[in-house]
Amino acid sequence: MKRLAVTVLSFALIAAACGGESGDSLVGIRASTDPAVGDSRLLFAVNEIGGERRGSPEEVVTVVASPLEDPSRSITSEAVFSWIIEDAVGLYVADVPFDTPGLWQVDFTISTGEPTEPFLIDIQPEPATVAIGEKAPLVKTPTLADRPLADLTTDTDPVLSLYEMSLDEALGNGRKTVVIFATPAFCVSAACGPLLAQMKEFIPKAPEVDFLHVEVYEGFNEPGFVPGRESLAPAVTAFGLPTEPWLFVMDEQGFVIARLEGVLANGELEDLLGL
Amino acid sequence: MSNRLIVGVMTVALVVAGCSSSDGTDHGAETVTGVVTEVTGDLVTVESFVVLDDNGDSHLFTPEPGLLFYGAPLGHLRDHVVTGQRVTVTFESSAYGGMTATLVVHEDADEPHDHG
Repeated sequence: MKRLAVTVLSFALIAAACGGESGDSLVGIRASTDPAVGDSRLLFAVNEIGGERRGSPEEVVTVVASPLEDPSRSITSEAVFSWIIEDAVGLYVADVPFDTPGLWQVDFTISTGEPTEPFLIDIQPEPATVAIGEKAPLVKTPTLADRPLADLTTDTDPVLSLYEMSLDEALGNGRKTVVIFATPAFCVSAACGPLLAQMKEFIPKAPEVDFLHVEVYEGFNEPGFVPGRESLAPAVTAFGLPTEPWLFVMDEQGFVIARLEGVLANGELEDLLGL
Repeated sequence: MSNRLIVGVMTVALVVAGCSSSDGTDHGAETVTGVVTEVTGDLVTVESFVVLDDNGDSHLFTPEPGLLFYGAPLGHLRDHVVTGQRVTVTFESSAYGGMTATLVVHEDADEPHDHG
């Protein structure tokens, strides 16, 4: 109910433009779906009210985030723009250390000087997913030793090494692990689902890291398959994923050091892997 | 958030819904095209989603049970929050202002795809 209320409140904020009072304001669209205390990664898009997506490295966006219960306290951060599709679509990633649960209002300014509408983000006391600093669940995931490749991935351009090792094995071998949970087959637009493609680019650059891809659903190759709760992969349930795609980075001891949703900003994974 | 605030917010939203510019009359099938700005729910169940249309009006939809998006769970509308790719929603409205989505397709879809 609380999340629905937040949706409705966000809806009301955007809908406040009804009647044209906001003119040509830009709206911020929250893309982070599981923000919690301790997170500092705010993912958002900037749209024209008429529907056109905005944003580029040249359009500098600064955010000011304040808890609704204490608006006198604010955190200012310059957002980094990251292309999802080069020169076409992208998102902004801001570093905002959310330190208290509850609703936060995010105001933003853009270097073009256009007026903007704020958006809300509901910071949970704890994330739905495994949190940063927690030990990653030791879950056995299917590999090429268990099943043919076609039963392991819906990726149309798969990299075999992503399916050679079970997650529990990777988490226990003393190496860093990067695992992505994604269902490429459900990326029904040419624009969506870039995270797996982004991650694959890092495989040759980090030979000392284990990279794995885990499909969100099991049995996707079976006749009459319909994705549902009963078909969620055990690892997806163990990690508590509320959405997809998600990418987790674990250190050499198997502790989560990053949980990244949606897309990778420029330099983000490089920094985490020390590349 | 207190129940009183929730009720207040929902009241505001329902009033604002009166600004909707969708064509058609109550109780019939109508359509809205725009960008998805909010999806509430989890991986396999969507409780509601919001579409911002070209006039700047936001529309809050509740999906009909079992509604899929090109064969995928409706949660994949979140991809569209990320990419901004526009969708067209066919919906039925009630006399109380609620809108039930019965079909969601890409704006440029030639014809309807999977439905429920």
